[in-house]
Amino acid sequence: MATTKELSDFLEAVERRAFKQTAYAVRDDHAALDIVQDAMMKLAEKYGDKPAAEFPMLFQRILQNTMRDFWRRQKVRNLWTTLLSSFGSSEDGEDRDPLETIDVQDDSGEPATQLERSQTIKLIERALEKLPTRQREAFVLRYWEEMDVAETAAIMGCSDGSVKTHCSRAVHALALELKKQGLEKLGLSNLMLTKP
Amino acid sequence: MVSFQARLNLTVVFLVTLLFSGVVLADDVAVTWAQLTDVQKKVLSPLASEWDTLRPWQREKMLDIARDYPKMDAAKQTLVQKRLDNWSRMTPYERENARKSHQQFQSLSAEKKNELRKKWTEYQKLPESERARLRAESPDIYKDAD
Amino acid sequence: MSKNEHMNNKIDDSNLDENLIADEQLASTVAHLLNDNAQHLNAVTLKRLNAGRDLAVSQLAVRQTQVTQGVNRSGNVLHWLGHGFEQHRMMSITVIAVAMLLGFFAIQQFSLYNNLKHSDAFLLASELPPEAFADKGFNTWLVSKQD
Repeated sequence: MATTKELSDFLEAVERRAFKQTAYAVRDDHAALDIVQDAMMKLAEKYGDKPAAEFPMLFQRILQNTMRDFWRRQKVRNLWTTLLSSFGSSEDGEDRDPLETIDVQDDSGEPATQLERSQTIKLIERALEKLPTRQREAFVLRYWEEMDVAETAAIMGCSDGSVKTHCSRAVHALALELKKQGLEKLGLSNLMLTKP
Repeated sequence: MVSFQARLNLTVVFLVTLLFSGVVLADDVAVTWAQLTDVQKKVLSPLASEWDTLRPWQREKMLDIARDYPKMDAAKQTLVQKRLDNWSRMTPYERENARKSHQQFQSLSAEKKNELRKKWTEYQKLPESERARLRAESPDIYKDAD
Repeated sequence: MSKNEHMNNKIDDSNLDENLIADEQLASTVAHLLNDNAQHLNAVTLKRLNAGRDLAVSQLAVRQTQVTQGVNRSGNVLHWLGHGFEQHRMMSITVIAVAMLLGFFAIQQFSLYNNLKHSDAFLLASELPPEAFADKGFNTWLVSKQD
């Protein structure tokens, strides 16, 4: 049985990347926040009696399911209206939604590095969002969450073989896209984004 | 005044009755067709010929249906029997989708449900090519899904 | 195949492996960068994530308190069973334990009845056939009709 401290520690460690991963999937920051909060609640409600070691996998699975529920509840917007709304001004002359300005807080303080970094990230994010859903899921679970093949298969609800296929396609597609953007030489220098 | 002993006995009898009023036997999911009870065989008769080829998870779910079947009225029971075959052919992913949609459906008003029934008939009149196109357009369909 | 062609094939294969390895490394680096970037969120987002976390944790705390309280509640049964409890201690304790176990099974039965609404059998007996619920094309078509 997990303690409240274990749950709190786990959620604190996972919440930021969970938010980003969800945002890449649903392309809507508000919805992503709702989904992540929903998933946190479900973890506490349904799996509070599990050992904390199982939380990473359980949480990822809950996230995936909650995202799928979100898609179902959503009206189908065609791509065009989605594009239009993202360029449109805020309704009723309200102040700009604070969530629309996701700043990249920077530690190095060097303007040039900051610009390059945020451009790099934007390109990477765009490449990620371009991936087909299953490929993106497999990539996130295997490379970002560092789950093994069996865990990933359990979360995605498919076979080990499918996971490997989705992964290799994702990796290949990402590499192709990033090469197109001239980012193939992503090296260690780009890894120095945050101070230790 | 009722004695302590009597009250004790009463408690035990009450709870034991509760237990036996609906004991759920653990399902052995590797059960063969021959091992099913007559009641189960009657309910699952549409699947008789392929039962032994079904995967354990499929059989488990079918046994759940057989368990709930007696709780329904005759009209519902007929529907279950009619649709059992199609259901058994759907993948776990499709069935999970169906469960979620059904849950939403249940929360609708009676007239909305009726409306949807008519819409379903209408939709089925569309040519298969059109329906395939609509399926591909769905945002939550995984294009490279299993 | 000539010897040269064999050689070229070998080189092509090793290039392929190198490409795969390079792609994998790229994927790892990308994941790393994404993870680092995820640490930098704006204040509003962070606040909401915090709030969600606090809510979930307090929910767990409430549940865990309820579990311990549940044990205390069953102690009230002792009152109904009366003053004889002290005298027939061993038997009474056994009966309470058995009662709790049976009570647990009883609750399971009732929840199963409640679950009938969410069971597959109920789904199959509903106004629409299961294919209707599973057909994403139907869903898309319905939504398009709404607009």
